[in-house]
This record gives sequence, C-alpha cells and structure tokens, in this order.
Amino acid sequence: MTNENLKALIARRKTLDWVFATVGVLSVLVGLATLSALMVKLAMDARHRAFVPRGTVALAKGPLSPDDQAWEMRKLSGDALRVLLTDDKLRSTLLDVGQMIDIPRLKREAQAGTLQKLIEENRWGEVLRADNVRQLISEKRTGRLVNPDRFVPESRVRELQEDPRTGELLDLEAIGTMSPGDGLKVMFNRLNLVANAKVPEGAGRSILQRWIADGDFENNLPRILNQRRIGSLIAEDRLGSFVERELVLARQRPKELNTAFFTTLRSSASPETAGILTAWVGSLCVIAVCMLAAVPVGVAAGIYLEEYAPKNRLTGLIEINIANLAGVPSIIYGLMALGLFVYLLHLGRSILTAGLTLGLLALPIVIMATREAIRAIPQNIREASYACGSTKWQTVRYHVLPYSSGGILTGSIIALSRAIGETAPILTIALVFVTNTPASSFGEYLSLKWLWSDFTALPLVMFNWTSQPEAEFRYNAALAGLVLIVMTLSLNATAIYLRYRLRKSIKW
Amino acid sequence: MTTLQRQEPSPNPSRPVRAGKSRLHVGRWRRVREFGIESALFLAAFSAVLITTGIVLLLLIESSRFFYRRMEYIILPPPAVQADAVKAEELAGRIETALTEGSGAIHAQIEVIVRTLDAGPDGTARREIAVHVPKEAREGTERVLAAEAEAQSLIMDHDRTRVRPNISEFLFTTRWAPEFRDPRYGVLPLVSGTITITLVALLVALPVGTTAAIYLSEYANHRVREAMKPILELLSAVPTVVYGYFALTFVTPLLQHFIPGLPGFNMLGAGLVMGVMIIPYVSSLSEDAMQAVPMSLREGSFAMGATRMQTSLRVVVPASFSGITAAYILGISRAIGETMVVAIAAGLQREFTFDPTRESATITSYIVQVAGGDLPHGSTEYQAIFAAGLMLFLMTLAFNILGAYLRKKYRQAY
Repeated sequence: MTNENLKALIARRKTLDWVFATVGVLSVLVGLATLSALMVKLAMDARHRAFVPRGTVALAKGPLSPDDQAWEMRKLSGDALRVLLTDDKLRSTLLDVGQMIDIPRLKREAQAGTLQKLIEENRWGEVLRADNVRQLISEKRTGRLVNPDRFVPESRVRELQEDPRTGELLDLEAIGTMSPGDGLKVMFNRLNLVANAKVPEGAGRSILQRWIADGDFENNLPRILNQRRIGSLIAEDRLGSFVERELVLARQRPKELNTAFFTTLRSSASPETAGILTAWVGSLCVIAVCMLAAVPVGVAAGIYLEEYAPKNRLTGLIEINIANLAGVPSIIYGLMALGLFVYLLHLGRSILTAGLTLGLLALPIVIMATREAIRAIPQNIREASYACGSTKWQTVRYHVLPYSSGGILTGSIIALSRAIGETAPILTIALVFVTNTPASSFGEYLSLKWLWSDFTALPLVMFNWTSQPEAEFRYNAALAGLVLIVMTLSLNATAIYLRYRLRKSIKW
Repeated sequence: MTTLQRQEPSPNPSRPVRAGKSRLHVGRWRRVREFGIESALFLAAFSAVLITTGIVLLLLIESSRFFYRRMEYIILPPPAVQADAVKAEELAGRIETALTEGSGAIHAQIEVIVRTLDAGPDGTARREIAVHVPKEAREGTERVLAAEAEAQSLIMDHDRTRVRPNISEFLFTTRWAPEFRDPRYGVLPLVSGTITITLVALLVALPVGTTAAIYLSEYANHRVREAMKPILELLSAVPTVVYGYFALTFVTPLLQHFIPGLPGFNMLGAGLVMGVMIIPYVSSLSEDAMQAVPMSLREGSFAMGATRMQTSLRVVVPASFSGITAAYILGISRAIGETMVVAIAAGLQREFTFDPTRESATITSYIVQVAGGDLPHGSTEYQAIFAAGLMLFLMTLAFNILGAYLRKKYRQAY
C-alpha cells in the first residue's frame, strides 16, 4: 500500500472512530433527554393542579355553599362563559348565577360543545334550576332581581316597586304559570325595559362602574356577583366586558399552593378537589407490611446462601429460583396474589395482601443486596472470629452482620423504592374507588385492624386518574406522578449516598 | 461469648496431643441453637423455591380448569336464596339430581358449584350457581335447566353461557373475546401485541444501549463514566406508571405530529417509551461485561494499529458476548413482562396485527383490564387471565433458559 493510501486509510478510520464516539455520546444523551422531557412534562402538567386560584383550598374542604356557587361560576371555562354572555338571548336573561343556573350542567354542555345547540333550540332553560326560579317567583323576591341598593338609590327602588307599571310589566302570576325558562325570559325582558327606562341619566357613576374602572375586583367580586345587579349591568351594556375582565383576572388571580391535594380525603369526585391523602397513607401502610415481610426473610436467605450453604444441587436450585424470581413480570405476582392470598388463604383484598405481594416482589432484590454486602467482607474477619472459638452463628451475628448492615440497608432502600412505584401486582387485587384511610386515628393503627381494610396506593390512583377519559384528571395524575418520582428518586439518592458514605468509612 | 471448655491437659506435657481430641467443645444447648438458626435460615432461603412452585402450580391449576372441555351455565337464584348459604347448597343439590336424571350425562361428569361473589351494595352476600356438563349433554342439560328455572323462579344468565376452550383453539385462533355471548379464546391477538411492542422497544433499546455501553466502557474517561452511570440508573428508577403517563401525554401527541392519522392509543409510542425504559438494563449489564474483558486483549489490538472503534467492535464485543447476550435477554424479558406502559398507552383493542401504528392489547394489559373488574372466583374470565398469565410466564421462562444456555455456550473464562 502506498503512503498516500495508507494515510487516507488512517484518516478514514480516525473519522469513523470519532463518529462512533459521537454516536455513543448521543446514545447516552438519549436517556438523559427522555428523562428531562419526562420531568418537564410532569411538572408542567402538575402545576395546573399544584397552584390553584386562591380560595379553592377552602372550597375543597367542604360542600359548596350558595356563596361558593358563585365561585363555581368563575371556574367555568372562559369560552363557555363568553358564549353565555355574548349571546344576546342568554345575556338578557342572566340573573342570579348562583341560584339560577345549573353550573355543572352548563359546564358540561359547554365542554361538550352542545351549549350553542341548546341556545339555538331555545332549550337553554334546561340549564336553569327550575325549582329555584319557581321559588324566587313565588316568594316574590323577583323585585330583588334588579336590586339596585348600590346602583340605584333606595328611594328609586321604592319608586320602582310602587310603580304600578312595574307590577303590570312583571305580571308575576302570569309568569308563574309558564315554564321556568320561558317565564324567566319574559320576566327579564320586561325588567330590562324597566331598568332601562328608569335609571336616570347622569346619576353619577355607580359603584359598580367605579369598581370596574378601578379594577378592584379581588375584594368586591363576591359582593358583585351575589348582589343581583345583573339587570343594571345589562342596562349599562357592560356585562360582556365586565365578565371578560373578571375572567382575565381569574386567570391572573393570585395562586396558592394546593395543599388540599395532600389533605383531602376525596379522590374520585371532581378533578379539582381530588386529593391523594388516602393513597398516601395507604401506600405507607402497604410498604410497611412489605418491608416487614421482605427484609427479615431476605436477609436470612442471603446469610444462609453466603455463609451456610454447601455447594450441592439444592443450593443450586435455590439460586436458580431466586434468579428466576427476579425476572418474573410483576403482573404474575399480581395473579398469584389474586389466586393465593385473596381466594385460597381468604385474606381478602386488604393491605395485608398487598403488602405480602410487594414483599414477594422485593424479596429477590433484598437477597441479592445482602449477598453482595456479605461477599464484600474479607475472609480474615471470619477466620479471626473462628480462631477465637466462635460458632458460625456468633461469627455471623457479631462480625459479619455489623459490617454488612450498611450494604443491606442500601439494598433494602432500593427495594423499597422499587416497591413504592409498582402498580401491576396490586392492580389485580385492588378495588377501584376507595376513599377512606385505613384507620382514622392513631389508636386504631395499634390494634392492627387496618391490615384487613381496603387499600389504595399512590401508583394506583395515578393509574386510575390517567385512565379517566376526562382530561382534567390528567393534571391530578401529573401531580401524583411528580410526588411518586420525588419519593422514588430521593430514596434512591439516599441509598446511593449511604453506599458512598459506608464505603468510605470501612477500611479493610 | 462461648465458654471455652478447655481440653483436659494431658498429664505428661511432653506427650503430643492426639489428633481428633483437639476439637472445640461446644455446649449442647448452643449446638441446638445453632442447628435451629441454620434451619430457620435455610427455610428463608428455600422460600424462594416455594414461591416459584406456588406461582407455577397456581398458574397450571387455574389454566387446566380453563381448558377443561365443558359447557358452563350460570344460574342466579332469587335473592333470598342468594343470601343464605344453606339454601343455596340445597338448591344446587336439587339441580344436580335433576340433571343426573334428565340431561343424559353421567353423574360423575356433572358439576354443580355454588360460587360466592363479592357482597352486593347493601352488604348481603351474593351467590351464583355454576353448572358444568360435558359438551355432548348440551341439549338435555338446557332442557332440564329451563324446567328447573321455571319451577324455582331462577334466572339463567344466558350471557355467560360458555363453552370452555381447548388448547388448540387457545393457541392458534386469532380472536380473543371471552366476554361475548359467543366467546372466542384465541390468544394470538394478545401475543401479537406483545411481540410488536417488544420489537419496537428492542429496536430502540438494543442499539442505543449497546452503543452507550461501548462508549462508557471504551471511550469515556473515568469522570464522564461516573457522571453518566447514575443518570442511566435513574432511568430505571422511575416508576412505570409515570412512563405510561409520559407515553400517553407527550410521546403520542409528538408522534401524531409526524405521522398524521395516528390513533391516540398506539403501540409505537408505548414501544418507544418502553425501549427507553429498558436501555439501563441493557447498557449496565453490557458495560459490566465489557469491563470484565482483560486489558491485554485491548492492548494487543491497539498494538496492531486498530482504532478504538475497531477494537471495541471486533475484540471487546465478541469477547464479552455472553454478558451482552445476558443483557439482551434481560431486556427482552423485561419488555415482554411490562404492564403499565402498555396498559396506559397502547389501548385495549384485541386485533391480530403487527402494525405498530394500531392500537392493541398485550397479554399484560389484558390481565390488568380484566382483573380490575368484578371477577367471581372460578368463572371463565377469571381462569382466562391465569391462562394468559401462564402464556406470559412460559414466554419469559423460555427466554431466561435461552439466555442461560447462550451465556454458558459463549462464556469465556479469563
């Protein structure tokens, strides 16, 4: 080969080498990129549930009061509200939102895209709460429908109410005989006329107008929405822009950390108020049982295999089985739990079953970690112990185990972190909707009755939420997933750190 | 500590001590304790064998019940009988007598079982009666049962009348529909789903994992390696539900951007994420295997003027072939047995297809889907998941055995 050919060959080879190195780096970076994409996606989805408009936490704590229903109005999707309010027919009849409109129904229709159809078919009355409307009419509280105690002076109200034409225009009896939707419509059309006709010119800026101009919504919004001033807003033709601004502010409303997610017991109701407390406590209980089952048996098995086991076929069989168990798909453990624990041993779908199943899953990991830890101890120590006349168990107990306890602890933590994130084994034995923590007070925990109660676990609720067709539940799933990842990663980090520290401190 | 019982000193110190007398004397109780402890430890280790046996037995037993070629009829007694165990048993006995007389089947072949379901919403027990007869006695049985139902105001649950499948139907037909009125028990759709997703995952994981391993062991300096290894280990520490969520909400929309018309549930996204999930398994085991190759081989190759790429591809990889094979087999087993990613992202349709852009259930996601519902113990659906689980177990076992064989065959001792 000539010199030039050789040089060219070498150059080619070097380039290829360099290309290959780059490909290698890229391969490693693929993993890194996916991991970061995953964390970013989780965080971005979770923030919708982690930071909620101020007041939602209070909302999550109890049933909705009529005042809170006004809050519900604010949580309507912006588009639904815009449709509602920019459409002339609806706008002219919009009244006391909290009492009149069936908010969840409205929301459903808006999200399903059928709201427009309802309006066109003049069936928007279906989103009204018929009995509330009827009650208001019968109590003759419709006068308050144009409650002007802030906008129109008190004297004006009396004038309006005493004006026989108002009564004639309102004709409450006739309205009472119509269907609530129609009646309401008629009533408001007429009230509109009244309001329009009666509000004096140049009466000075109403308080509402002032509030709108000042942008001081935060404190006054509840009052604004609860006072039935909508007629005036309609009269001033400010309703559309008023609600638009209100919506903008709602989105910019100061957010608070959604502690309700971690403290509420509801997990399957509406997406906004669901929380993970039951799942969290359930997970802790299940993991406790799992560790109590796996660690003693695993450490004992590891000790036996390393210290006591002779090299015969039985030991080979045991080792093959352990290696096999480490590779069994986790759903098979779930099937075994179903057949054996639930039906054969009649343990039911309880925390005990779930803990035992996860313990079986964690067992091979603990065994392998124990064996590694014990193998790392040099033979001198054992020999020195035997030379002093110890028996085998004394050697293990007083010399081998203390030195290997660090490695065993690390292995147990890794097994723990794996068991926390496992869903498949407990999916087969879990009931779908469980909303109570296993025991309500600490005293009940002592009596161990909670072992037999129904359970739910963190990965389980995340799976349930992800499988829901409603997209809102995905945010819940993201936040739960974030919690899960943080727990798993911190446990792993603890294990790695412990391993590092212990390795440094032991000098053979 | 042990009370060291010294041997009786020999009367003449100059006489040598006989061998055999210089054993350590250990007290009797200590010996008993030692034996007890060793037995306890042995039992703990043996529990692994017991667990495996338990799993295998359970799968085999339930699957054998699944395959037993019989007709199954489900009868719902009236609520008063459902709540009372004694009455339910009496009713079962009466039905059995009637069947023995009228259905044409031999008494030994007829099986009438009372099954207890999970309690109803008000807490009362619910029971159903399952009747198993050979397929040949079908008409006679149906006549008898119809008459009995009339007489005792029972309800026959026609929707759950079943013919139990046989093994050839299970293994070779291509429709899996156990819940339908006309049930079909071909497991091939599930297997095809599993295979397709595994192939997609392996297409991602094997090249990327091996290349990453080669880079980390051959090219990277110590600091880079120590930094990169934890990151790859982190990939394996993430819970699989989170991967499933990621596949559903990020990867699938991304893929839909590139492949228009991709359905929301598809095997491609799930397979890709599963591939990324398996990378750490492949890469860490391969890398350990490559590190175990002695430096002399590499040095010899470098001495011949090879570049690093040539060395790694032609010397190191073949030398560590057994370890790399082990890594691949582990990756395959993991991919086959993965549940959550496919359950969330790959959908639940059962079609016999190898097209990754379609939605398909795998064996594992089928088990999840069915087991999440209401499964009375002993019903065909219940046994079907065990049959599917047995299939899965056998596949994983086959790959493990293959892996062990390949490893032994190509093992090089250094």
